[in-house]
Amino acid sequence: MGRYLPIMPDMRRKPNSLLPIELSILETAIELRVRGAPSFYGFMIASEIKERQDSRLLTAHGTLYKALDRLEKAGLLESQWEDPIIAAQQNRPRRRFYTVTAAGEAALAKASHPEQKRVLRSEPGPATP
Amino acid sequence: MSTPLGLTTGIARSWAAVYTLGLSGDLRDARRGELDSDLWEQQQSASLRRDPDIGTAAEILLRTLLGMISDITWRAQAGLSTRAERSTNVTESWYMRGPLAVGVVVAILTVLAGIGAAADALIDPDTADGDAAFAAVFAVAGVAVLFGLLTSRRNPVLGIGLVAAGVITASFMFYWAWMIGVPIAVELVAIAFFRARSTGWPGGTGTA
Repeated sequence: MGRYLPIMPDMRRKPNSLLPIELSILETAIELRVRGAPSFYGFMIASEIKERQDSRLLTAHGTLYKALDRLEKAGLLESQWEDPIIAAQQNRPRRRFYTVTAAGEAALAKASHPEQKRVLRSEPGPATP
Repeated sequence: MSTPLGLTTGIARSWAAVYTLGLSGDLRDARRGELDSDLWEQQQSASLRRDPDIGTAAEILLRTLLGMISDITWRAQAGLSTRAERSTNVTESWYMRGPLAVGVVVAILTVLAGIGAAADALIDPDTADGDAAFAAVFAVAGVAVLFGLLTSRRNPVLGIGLVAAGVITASFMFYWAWMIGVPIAVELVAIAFFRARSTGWPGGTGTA
């Protein structure tokens, strides 16, 4: 099973395409950044996505962390574990903070405006004298 | 924490413990750590909003159940990456195969010599009972060295420890031959040590 299952998503996915959950994560993360939170952690992004989409349930653990892992491997996110001292002072488990990279922003821009890109590509260039 | 909450967080953690089994330490700890943080944050957030525990427990259970397929596919992918990493380690350590083969042969000869001497002592009525025990201990020392050498990549501390225990025992038994025994002992421990080092130990995972 382990040999074939990982191939299946790759077969279905176009290269460099983003799944809806990945798109949601990137969009929400950029929104959070605009609101003054440069990085986010798992539960934080799950709550924000729930609010944005007005859904009744938080994103499932497996779906969320698999997507975060995939985005990080693709270089669209960067992660860093919180300083254990800070977590210990606040008496809670350490958070893993994610930040959207420049590649992540570019991928989001590309995925969010595919029509615009298509129009730009089909438009004739400026007329040369 | 209420009973339903304790139960569902326990289920979520146990599920994570199951599907991360066999992964490298870093990967396993990262996933479990993230889940621990998530569960804690969700409970804190629910208690701040004064949500009923049963609702939070149900949501945690649903999040766990709905994410299981993703967990399994993630685990399968992570397992493939780990295997690829391991095969790279094996390729990198081809130069260790020669010394390991020599070490294994020495250990097997020790075991056979011990077993042979013990059998001989048991069969020959003129031999003292202590001789059989002496030979048996020598054979056990050889087995320890053999297992230690073979497990030194998978479990460095246990592997090196077994080799060291075996060679120290054998060296003490034949203390009068220390000029031969001590260099062989040092070499066997060195083989186990360098095999362990080739996996990134002590800083890395120590698995291969």
